[in-house]
Amino acid sequence: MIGERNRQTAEMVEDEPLDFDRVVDRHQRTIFRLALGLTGNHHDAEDLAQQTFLKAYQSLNGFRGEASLGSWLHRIAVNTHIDRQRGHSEAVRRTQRSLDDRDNEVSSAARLHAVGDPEKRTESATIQRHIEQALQVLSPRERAVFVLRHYQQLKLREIASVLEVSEGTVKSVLFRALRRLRKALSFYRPELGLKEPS
Amino acid sequence: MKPCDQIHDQFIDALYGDLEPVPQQEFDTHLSACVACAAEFSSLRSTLDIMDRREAEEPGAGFWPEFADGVRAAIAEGERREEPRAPGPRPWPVRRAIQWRGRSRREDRRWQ
Repeated sequence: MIGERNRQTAEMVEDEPLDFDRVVDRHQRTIFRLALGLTGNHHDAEDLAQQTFLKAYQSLNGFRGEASLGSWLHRIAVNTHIDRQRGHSEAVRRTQRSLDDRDNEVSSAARLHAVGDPEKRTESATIQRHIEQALQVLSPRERAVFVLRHYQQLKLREIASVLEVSEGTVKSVLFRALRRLRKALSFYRPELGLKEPS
Repeated sequence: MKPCDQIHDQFIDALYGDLEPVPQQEFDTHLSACVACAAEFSSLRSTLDIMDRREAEEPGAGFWPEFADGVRAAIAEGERREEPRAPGPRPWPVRRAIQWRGRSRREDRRWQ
């Protein structure tokens, strides 16, 4: 087992040793999916997800069980990602974005070898690239809020708990994120009901 | 009818189906009468429809045991680094400034 520490959590029986193997097994898919939404590529998602569990293990003493273990892990993942992004200059983020685009091209190309109509596969790969590029326009915080609501399907009050802000702030950040995504995807004008530029 | 700015405040709730029945009805009534708000809401709805097309590829079954191994390795490495240092004299000298009769004087001092 990965270490044993006597901790009380909302999910564990009092005074039973915490089996961290079980924590990882139970939450790894959710946390990886969150990390993929935050980072946009599998390599960074794996790294972020592993760092999340490492930090959780190291800070078990600070977990008092007010929130669920899942919410707590979400918070660690989001904060770790935001802290990392804060440490990067805009130039580094731009370079990372172009590398991510290349990664996405590679994985999109791999999907092209899958069975199916070639034209539809190309269209699908293009949409995936546009979606990822649109997400990259968002600030780390905006992206976190959007991913938590739209892909992780957390309720606004759960997101507020994860980010330790008010629901009103979550709503405001989400609205701003949505408008930026709309602008980034504005070439899909007919679908978005936007007018053609004069 | 509610003013437009109050309707805008409800856009997020409406987009995710979180409005209660009465506010939802007021919201729908406003949109049916206000072209600008209806267009704004529709374009945000379409944006979410596009974002819904994101395909997040799940890793295969073989990925997860390796992932858990990576977590174990990181934890083990972290615990190895936290092991207490063996007792004994510190290898580096400690310098401290000593005031002696108005003159400052530096003196090397080793831990006992």
